[in-house]
Amino acid sequence: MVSPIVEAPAPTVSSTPGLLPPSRSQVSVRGVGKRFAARKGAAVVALEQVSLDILPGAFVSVVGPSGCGKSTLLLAIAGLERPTSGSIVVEGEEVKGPFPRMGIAFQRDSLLEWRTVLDNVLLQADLRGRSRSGYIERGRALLQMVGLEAFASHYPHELSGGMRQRVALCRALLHEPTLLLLDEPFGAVDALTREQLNVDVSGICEVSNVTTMLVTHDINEAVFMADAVVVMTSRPGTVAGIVEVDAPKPRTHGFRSDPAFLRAATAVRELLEATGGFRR
Amino acid sequence: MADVLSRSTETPSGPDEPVETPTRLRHVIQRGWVGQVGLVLVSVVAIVAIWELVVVVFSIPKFTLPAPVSVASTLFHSTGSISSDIAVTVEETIVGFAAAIVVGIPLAVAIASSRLVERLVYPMLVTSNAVPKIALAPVFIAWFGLGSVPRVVMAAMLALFPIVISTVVGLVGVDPALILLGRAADAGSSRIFRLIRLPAALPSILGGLKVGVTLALTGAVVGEFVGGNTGLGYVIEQAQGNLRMSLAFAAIVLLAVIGVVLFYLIDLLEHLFLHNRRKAS
Repeated sequence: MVSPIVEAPAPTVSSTPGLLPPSRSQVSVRGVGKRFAARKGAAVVALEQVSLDILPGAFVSVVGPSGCGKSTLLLAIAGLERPTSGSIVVEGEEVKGPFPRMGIAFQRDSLLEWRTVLDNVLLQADLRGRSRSGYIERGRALLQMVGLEAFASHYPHELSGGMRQRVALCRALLHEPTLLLLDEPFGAVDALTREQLNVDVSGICEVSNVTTMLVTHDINEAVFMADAVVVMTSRPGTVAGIVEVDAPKPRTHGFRSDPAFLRAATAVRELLEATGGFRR
Repeated sequence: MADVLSRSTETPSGPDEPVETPTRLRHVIQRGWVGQVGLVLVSVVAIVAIWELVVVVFSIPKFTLPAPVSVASTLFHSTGSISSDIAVTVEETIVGFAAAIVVGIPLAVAIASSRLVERLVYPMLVTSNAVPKIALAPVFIAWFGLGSVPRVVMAAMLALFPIVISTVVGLVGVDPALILLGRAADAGSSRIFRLIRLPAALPSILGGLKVGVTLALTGAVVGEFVGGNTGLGYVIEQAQGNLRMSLAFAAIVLLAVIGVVLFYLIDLLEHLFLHNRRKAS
């Protein structure tokens, strides 16, 4: 299963030819494992021998049942969680801490209630110790892109869940990241807003030309936005397989009834069923 | 327009129709500022009236329970002569409260950011809080003499605990995702503290200050009971010794006023700092 966008070599072949040359892949995960020490009994194995390559500009979804380690994998790539084995290389550099040109957004929008919408977006510059004056214009432009320019001086509690999540996305993109990591960013919004956000984010990522990794437990969402879907199984978390979604981006609402979408979604479901992610 | 006018004259027409004026009146009474103050006045007047009635009906002697009228008269005539005592008590309370903030908040920051400090200091703090601090008043007098120092120490001691606890709770309770966000942006712990932790903990800290400022007043008065010859606590003790109950009650009313004013000063700070935030959900 060789994909032009994502490749998951068999666990043992990290040195075998056939892998993408490291210079071509933006994120390269090799044999990554993560164990959490348990207070009693055996350690919990969150990830075991996970390998994959993500090409520049790709949108990759990672989908799998709860506890399959997909969030742990994202945090490891983000440099926020140290793997217990294997290595992760982002843009040619071994990950030892947060990669400077990385943007991240979590399930809860994590907006600061005491900052206005624009100030929340500019938090990215503040946290990095950069002068915010150089970012105000970009902050406003990002807000305009997600249709929130009129809300720049509003406070988060005045916004709906979907609007808040779009602000969080602007914050993640403020410093022009080359890698965007989304950890279930649409988990807390209602179903209709979620479908709209899927379209919005698909467009934004395409425009920003940012490589994106989305972790989700929603198969339709995973397929809708992605070039390729990495399916994981749990206990221990491993890559069960990769399903390609062969259709141009950005995606629009109509893509949900496109044969390519349905084919890929079915393939993901079958893969989950075959690997025990679904009970028959 | 005509339609609206004609309808408003027709209502209320039946039992199911919302009766507008009484509802709005109730709304103003419950929500409006004037309504709130009005309600407080009603309850105060009611209590004073019952008090007066009880004293008259049961002909309670003046040295047991003075009637509100005589307390009011004493308040009017003696407030001048005890003004220095009022000032002393207010000053002790404020200085003690300030000392509790200066010691308590950095201590709380240290406890919240270091496991070691937490394990070293927390049990001691809990133990010292478990000791009835009034029992320490004579010890403080032996250590610091009869001046204002033991009272200030007492005020600070009482205010310290709620300030430390609520600051620690606020700092530790910050959403872990916010901290992760800071770490992802490669912010150091001091920058995360300044931009995220401290502002996130502010509501909790101010809550602790509200409890603390009232306890500081209690501490100052307890200190005055035990030693020295100034302050409203001393005035109450003397008045009780001389069977001048109306003076004792006048001082108690003054203490209540001081306590309420200090409380609402912190409340005002809270409104200034937190007016933009979501109401407690």
